[in-house]
Amino acid sequence: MTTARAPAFARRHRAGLSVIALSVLLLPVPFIIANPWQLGILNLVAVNTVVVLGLNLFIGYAGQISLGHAAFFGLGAYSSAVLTTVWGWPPFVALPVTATGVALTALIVGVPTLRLSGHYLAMATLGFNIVVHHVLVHWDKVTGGPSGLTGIPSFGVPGVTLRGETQQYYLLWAAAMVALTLSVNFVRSGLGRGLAALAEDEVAAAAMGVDVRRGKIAVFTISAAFASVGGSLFAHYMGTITPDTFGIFASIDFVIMVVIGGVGSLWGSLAGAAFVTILPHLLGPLEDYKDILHGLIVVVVLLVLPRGLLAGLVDLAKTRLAQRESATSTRAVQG
Amino acid sequence: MPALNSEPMLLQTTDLTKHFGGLPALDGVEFAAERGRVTALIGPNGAGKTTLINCLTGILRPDRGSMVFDGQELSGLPPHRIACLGIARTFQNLRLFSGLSVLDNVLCGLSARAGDSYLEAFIRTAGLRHRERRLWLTALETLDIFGLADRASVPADALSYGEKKRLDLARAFVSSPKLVLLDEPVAGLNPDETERVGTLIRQMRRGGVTLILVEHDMDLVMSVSDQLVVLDGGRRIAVGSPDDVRCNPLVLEAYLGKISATA
Repeated sequence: MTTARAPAFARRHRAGLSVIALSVLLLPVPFIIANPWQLGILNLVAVNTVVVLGLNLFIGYAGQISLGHAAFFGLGAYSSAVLTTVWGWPPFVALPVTATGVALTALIVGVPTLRLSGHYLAMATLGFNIVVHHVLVHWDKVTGGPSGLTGIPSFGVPGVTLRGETQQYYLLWAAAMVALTLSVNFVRSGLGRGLAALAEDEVAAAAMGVDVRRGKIAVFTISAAFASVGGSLFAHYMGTITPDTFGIFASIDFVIMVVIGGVGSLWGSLAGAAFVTILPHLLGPLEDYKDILHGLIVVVVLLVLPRGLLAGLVDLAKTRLAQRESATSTRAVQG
Repeated sequence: MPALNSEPMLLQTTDLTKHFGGLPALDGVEFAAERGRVTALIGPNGAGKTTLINCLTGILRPDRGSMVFDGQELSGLPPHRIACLGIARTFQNLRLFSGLSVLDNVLCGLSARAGDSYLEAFIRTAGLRHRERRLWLTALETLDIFGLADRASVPADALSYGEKKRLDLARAFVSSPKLVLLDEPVAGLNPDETERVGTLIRQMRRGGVTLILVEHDMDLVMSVSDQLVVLDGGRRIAVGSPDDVRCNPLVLEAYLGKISATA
């Protein structure tokens, strides 16, 4: 590679190189943060990142709304748990089978509900989440009722099982990086552009040959599969699951992560997941006020940085820089 | 103009009828667009021009009648299927994807041609990268033709009104469609910009694309059209060359009101 071609190479593979750079940054983290409790929080960030990336494809790129993604997250977690504990399947088989099943469920739910949009779609997906949560709580024989399921095995191959937060860290963040790469690829494809187009204007998108209805259902199904994978990762990481993790407030938290990270910003999803997951642990004694603070933060972010925390701050920095530059050049002219 | 197909009409509607409530918006309209020609569709406000366009693009479903495009019946097809047959359109009120870049807007015009599978899209196969690169080049060429090459990376929202109108055209023409429906392409443009769009329309016509033009700017209509169809009250009241139509008493009446023998 000649030096002249290097910038072009970097430009063309910018997304891939960024993911690699981030992965390299994440590699030494378990050696820096030795505290297993803190590492555990980072592991949950990785799990949430997978869910939020999928949700951001649906909310941020296709311009729809779902207040029911915790249901898919929960279905993923419980299916994975049942398949491994009752049926004795290895986790790495349970995960893709579960994701396929949840995607089919999303397809069945999506075909009628995605005729709706806006508030109505929000209500329909919320209703779906309430139904799923209700089933998780009351179908004792399978789900263990309110106390949930325990003894869910960790990921591993026969003979080797992942132990400790550090090993889990590498698995979960590898999964998050894969999810990030897939999403970044997707939004840069013709299909991804079609979604962005239908989010802006369905009539115009259809006139360009975008199958609006099919596109919405497809991305809903895909985002449910992401949520399911997140759920499976969560179940095998935690070892114990209870229905409370998968209620409507969890769904709202996922939406908050998307919004804080920046609607339609995949890199922001990472920031949003990290921010919302870590925040309650930083609050310490104020933890009881977590929901109020979340609400306040969302309002402030929407008012001040409507493009989200990450994109918003980048914009802000760019504006400041441009202002400073113009100020210096004016001074130079005057001087 | 080379007539490759034996059928000289690319598009032919027969007895096309659409009612809104009890009111006829289209009443048995017969309309044809000849291959490689510009057919203008004119008429006073409320004549049914937009309804006709909306029927042709699948946004509205006609109550009765047929619309045959290149041997294929359009009636009952959804908009995206019609687009994939090679019918593109522009919008009177623009409908650009305002948050996307100018380049992405034009690339969206190529959606039908992208033809990716979801699996390919997620793993970004070499084949897809190769196709993307070709689409990208096509989009840039089209932007160049429509004088927007230097604006490729700005958001569509940031364009001036004239540039937006040209972007709407670029987005329609980028896919090399067989037929383009132009819905008031120069509405609200100043004379210079109107002239520029007129030149582009003539340039596209020379390229062999068939055009249907809905427009109120009569200077533009008369200068670029081969054939005029005049609608009034949902019915076709006249058809012919620009000169024929200009002198047609029915047309004058529709536009100016009945000229009674006051003298």
